[in-house]
Amino acid sequence: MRRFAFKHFRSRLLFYFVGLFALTLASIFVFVDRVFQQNTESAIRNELIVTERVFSKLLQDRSAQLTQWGIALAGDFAFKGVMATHDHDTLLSALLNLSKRVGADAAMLVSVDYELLADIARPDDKGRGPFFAADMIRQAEEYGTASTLVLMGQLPYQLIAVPILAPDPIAWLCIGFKIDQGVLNQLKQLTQLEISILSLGKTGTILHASTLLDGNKATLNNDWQQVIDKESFFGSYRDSLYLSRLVVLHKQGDFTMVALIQRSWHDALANFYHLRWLMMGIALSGMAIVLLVSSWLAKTVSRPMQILVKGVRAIGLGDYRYKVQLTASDEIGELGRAFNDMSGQLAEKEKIRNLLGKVVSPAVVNELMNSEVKLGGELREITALFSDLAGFTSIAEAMQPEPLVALLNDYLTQMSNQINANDGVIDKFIGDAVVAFWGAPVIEGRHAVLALKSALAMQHALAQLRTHWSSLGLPLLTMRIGVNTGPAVVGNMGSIDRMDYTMMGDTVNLAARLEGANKYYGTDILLSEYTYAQVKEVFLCRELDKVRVQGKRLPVRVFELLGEHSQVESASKVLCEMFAEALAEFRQCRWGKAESLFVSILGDYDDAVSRLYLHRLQYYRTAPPEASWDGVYDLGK
Amino acid sequence: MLNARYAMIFYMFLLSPELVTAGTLHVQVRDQAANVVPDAVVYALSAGPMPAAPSQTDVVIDQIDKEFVHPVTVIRPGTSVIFPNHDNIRHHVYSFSPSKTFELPLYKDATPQPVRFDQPGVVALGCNIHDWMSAYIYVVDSPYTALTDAQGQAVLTLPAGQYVLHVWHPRIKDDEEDQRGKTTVPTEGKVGLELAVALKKSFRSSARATSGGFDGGAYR
Repeated sequence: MRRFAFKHFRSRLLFYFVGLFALTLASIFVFVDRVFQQNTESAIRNELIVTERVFSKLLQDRSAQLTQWGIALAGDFAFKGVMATHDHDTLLSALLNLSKRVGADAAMLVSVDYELLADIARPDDKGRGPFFAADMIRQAEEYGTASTLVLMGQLPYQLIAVPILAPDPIAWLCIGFKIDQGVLNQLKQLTQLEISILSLGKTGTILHASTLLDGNKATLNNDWQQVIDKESFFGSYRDSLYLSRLVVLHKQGDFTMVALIQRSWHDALANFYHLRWLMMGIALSGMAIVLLVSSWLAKTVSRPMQILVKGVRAIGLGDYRYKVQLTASDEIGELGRAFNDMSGQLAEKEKIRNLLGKVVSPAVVNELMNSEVKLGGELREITALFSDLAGFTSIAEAMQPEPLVALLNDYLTQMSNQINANDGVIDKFIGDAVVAFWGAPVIEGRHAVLALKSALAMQHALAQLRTHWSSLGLPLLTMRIGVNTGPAVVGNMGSIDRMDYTMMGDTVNLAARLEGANKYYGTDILLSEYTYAQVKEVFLCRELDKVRVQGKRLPVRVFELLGEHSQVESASKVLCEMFAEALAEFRQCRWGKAESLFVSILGDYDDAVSRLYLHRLQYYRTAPPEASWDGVYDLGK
Repeated sequence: MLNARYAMIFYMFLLSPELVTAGTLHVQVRDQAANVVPDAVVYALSAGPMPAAPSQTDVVIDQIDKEFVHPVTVIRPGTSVIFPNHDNIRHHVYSFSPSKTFELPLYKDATPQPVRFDQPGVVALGCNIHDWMSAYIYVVDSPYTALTDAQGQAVLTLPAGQYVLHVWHPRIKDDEEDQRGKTTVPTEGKVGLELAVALKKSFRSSARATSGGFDGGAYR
């Protein structure tokens, strides 16, 4: 599967920067969110506990206050007097009177033996029935006063009991206050929390009072038994989620009165929602800034890269003068400077190479550039070529220097082109003479063939030059070429400061000799038998003579190059065969036969060599050679 | 259960066989925690004829320093009690007890008319303007009565014979019938008797008004 790849470095940098930033932001978001929710929850739980305490304290204080009021009421002497009358109606009336003094919602008179004497809520009930909250009276007997929570007529009351003393207890005064909306509202004002009073009995759950909105009240009648043991819990009413705490206010048998304290989750998180928007805003601005900064940063990196890419391409195309414009003082600027240094050095090297190429052959240039330049040579089999323009010296004397140099340059350019085209190495120019070789410095097995090909090409090029020269009114110049193959010392020769890659040895000397011998034979290209041995498959050559070079004991056979086998005309081949026959007769000293053959050649061909032999033949007729003559001509003569 | 609870009556001394005209009965009263109980009424009832009440002079229950001088007073029915006030402030003596309900509205120097108590029973006295002031008149038809002293001891001089002894105390638990012991008094010499009573907590205010407010405010 292919992985997603960025096309631009800038996009990648942007992606990573922005991605990393977004990831960081997201982590912060999640963390803050979680912490805030946890804190909020824990804060709400605390609030619930505090509210529970406040509520308990509120009830306690209320109870204490009621008790004080009760004690004050119970001390009413006139009421004690009424007690002594045992007149129920008067008693009830007096009790009502007392209760109104403190605004009590309920008032009862209970005998010391727990019988209900009077109840303002039931004025007609004159019977002495047992008091329903006898437990509270027993508690009061123990502690002097007592208070409790009771349900009267489906309403929760705080009920207190105080003794009526005369001066011993003669009865118990019980007064009660409803726990109604007002009490809860007071609590809500203090704590900002919702509170509801419910009672759980055999008949189910009854909601007595609540600060909740009516809509939410209706949903409170859940099965509280499931949550009654829990300290606090989440509950959802309608659309709102509440964290709630259930406080058992009073428990007696199956009857339980509870207070449900609640805090709206949404309200509690209101601050957080605000913070969340704020954070979102900050995050978006941050993202925008990161986007801008990172795209700018990416640009600062990618633009130099593009510039460098352009530069590298230019260098690749050979434009070594190309300079990149990176001026920064940082690493990128350093890279730019390094690049410019590199291109400068490349340009320098190329300049040297070009220069060298003009002075020495490309092969030698490469050899010089790629290896250590040092004096010294080695013995190598090479093919050496010497060329010379016949009669150039005489026209040079007659010409002005400038046209002469132009002519010479024209000629040498053409010749060197041919040599280069055939992988030859131009050793040197000596005036109009050209010295070249094959087989060094690069080893080339076909050095002899390439040298002869080059010789033919040179002659061909000269033929074209001639037409140009004739139009300039110049004499028709011919070129003599001598080629020899053999071992020679090649290498850098000269002084440590000024050296030539050149060749040295008899092989070279013979090539030079052969070049000169053309004049004698009236030929264009001469080669030695050593060269001939390597090229006879390719070129048609005519053996001309067997000569002894000065200083050499062994004679050398000399050949004239006629052309490539594939290209020479049949006439040349015939000439070649006829000449070979004549030469054989000549060497056998059969002068007559040889003469007739040479004459017959001359009948068909304008052959200077045959004429030379007729002359030589005339000479030998008059002065026959020694018996040991081997047909060798002493070239030194 | 009550019998078990109050069955702590036992004899200290057995009767002497000698017959004399009168003997003394030493009674020791303790509560359920074995503490001595002062100010307890001890009276003896006999199956035989008892002497009629002599024409008694008025009994005095004085009020000094915002207290009744005698916390408990025992009288025979038909006795009158006067309530002088030796404080320089007024008092308002009252009783809402069923056996005698009366009221002596605020007075200081002029001692009101004596109050006659005809019905046997307990009369709890209070002062309307001083909640802590408390005293009891125990009306009982017996010539043989005594109050226990600070050591919870009372001495009765009785003709020889058999008696049922009763104990009453302001904080006594309601089962009065059980607060008694039988004894035979010899003609001469003394006989001892220890009676145990069950007391309850008092709910009466003990708070005493001082210049700074109430000293305490607890219930004793």
